[in-house]
Amino acid sequence: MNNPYIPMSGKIKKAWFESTDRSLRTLDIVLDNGKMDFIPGQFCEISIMGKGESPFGIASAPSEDFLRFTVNKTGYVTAAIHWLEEETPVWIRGPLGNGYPVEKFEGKNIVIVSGGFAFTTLRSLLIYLLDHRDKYKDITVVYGAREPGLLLYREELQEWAKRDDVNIHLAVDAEFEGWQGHVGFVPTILEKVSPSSEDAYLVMCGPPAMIKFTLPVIKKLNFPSEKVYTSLERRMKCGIGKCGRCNIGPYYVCKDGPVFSLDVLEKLPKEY
Amino acid sequence: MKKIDKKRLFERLNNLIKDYVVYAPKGKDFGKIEDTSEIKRESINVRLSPKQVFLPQEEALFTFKQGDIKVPENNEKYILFGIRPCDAKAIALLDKNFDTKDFPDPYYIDRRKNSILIAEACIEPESTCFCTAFGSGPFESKDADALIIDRGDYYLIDGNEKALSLFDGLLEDDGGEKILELKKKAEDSIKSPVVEGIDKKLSSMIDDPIWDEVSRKCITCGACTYLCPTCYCFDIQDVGKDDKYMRERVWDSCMFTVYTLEASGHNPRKEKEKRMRQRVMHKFNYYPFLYDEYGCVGCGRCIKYCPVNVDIRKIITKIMEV
Repeated sequence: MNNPYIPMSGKIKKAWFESTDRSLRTLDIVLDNGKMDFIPGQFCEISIMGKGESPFGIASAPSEDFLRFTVNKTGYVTAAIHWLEEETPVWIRGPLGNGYPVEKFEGKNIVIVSGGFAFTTLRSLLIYLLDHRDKYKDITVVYGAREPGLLLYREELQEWAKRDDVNIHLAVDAEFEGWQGHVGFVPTILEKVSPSSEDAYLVMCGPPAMIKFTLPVIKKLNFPSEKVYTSLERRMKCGIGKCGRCNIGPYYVCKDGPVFSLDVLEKLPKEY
Repeated sequence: MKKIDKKRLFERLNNLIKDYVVYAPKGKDFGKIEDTSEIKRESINVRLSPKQVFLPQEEALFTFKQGDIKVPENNEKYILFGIRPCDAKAIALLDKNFDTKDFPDPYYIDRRKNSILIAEACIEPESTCFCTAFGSGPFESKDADALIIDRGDYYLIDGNEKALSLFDGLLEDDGGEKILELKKKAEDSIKSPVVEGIDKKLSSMIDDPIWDEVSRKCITCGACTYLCPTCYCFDIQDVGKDDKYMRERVWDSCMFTVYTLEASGHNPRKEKEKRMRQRVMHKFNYYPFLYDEYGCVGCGRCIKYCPVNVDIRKIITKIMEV
């Protein structure tokens, strides 16, 4: 019997501070026993032996030969992760969770809305969509952060912005020296960009405040709830729907999520 | 049904302790015995339930030393003697969480598949018993490998081959003894609340003011969940130092604030009424949604041992009255 609690070994190939405030660190990890198959939106549990395990969304795309995670230093395990240096062994369980319904998205326009460091699994999704570019129609990204240095994957964002097969709209909350993108909060920018909801799916990940103020804009743009997807976070332990804590109603965020459509969430207790 | 002499049964059980780890009621709690003389009940049902055999309060998932992960081996065989029919049903409910197709839990399953459950009928149920609310009863045999009925010097016994073969050579003809009356008397003595339709009803009660009302006196000590034979929530923690660690699974409880507390400080179930709602919803709404069965077996432990007299039967009745 396969033991779902046992992590796989890997090594950190690259590690760097992702944000100028050094609160976010990105790790590129290579597993000892070959590549992991996964769907954008799935997550892994990273173990620091002796400290514990925490779940992180996979920021790399299935086509890349490393697993990327961007970790916000906020607790015991994440602080330990920030200390890890290149070539250090790490332990990983995954992929866990359902992932974005990329097959359902086929043949549709895709709108990605994100704020702050919630862009991780959306990087995975965006690269996946670009890898299979002919399967999807228009791709629009609205991504904002408090200031330019807090946007994730800034070099790549610039590269994507140059492409003519994806519409990238980057924003910062307030005027910033040298900034040439949008200025304003994500909901405002989304309304300004005003992507059509026709034949489209919208994927949104961001901090609770962003989600709260973006939802009315999404309604205004006429996106039906069943065509809006988001990825949730909860305190997790097992990651396989057994330990009990991450449920929202009868669903486990770790196993039945973390990706949910809005119409499903609207019927559940607001326990997230 | 067969008949088995008590003295001879205990002698056999003592012999079986060589090959099996035997658990039985040991006074206050259910626990491991070395000799059948330890078998004793301070009450009809003991405080700690048999879930500890399959989901110990703490257990190592693996140890980690110098870069190597080692999973503890377990080849023990278990006999659970004298559990109550409600507890046997609770184990069948635990199976639904741990013995799943997507992620079968090897620690639980290894113990479970090597276990024999011998349930004992409750001739005189306690005042806190309400197993009949959930389609079970004090003489229910279907979730155990065998059911025994105490008749003074002997037990009446019925069960599957796996359980009965333990007592090869000791089983006698029951002489046509009838237990119907005994069973009826036990069932009739149980006062169970009506639960029919509570699962559907709860679906529209997420924001009902009842949760504040029923949780007001709760001190969120978690005793109800630790003693509950169907509660299985657990935490995973690392213990150890230097280069030698153990990853442990330990019982946890949805009644605790830290259970859902996130590193950021956000807590989706910070208020105790939300945690009480979670406990009740899990048993009477989520469980039926997922498995078509209630997640409560009516053993009454949470009622009997609650330090502030929260009574789940009263909560059920209140819900039904809304």
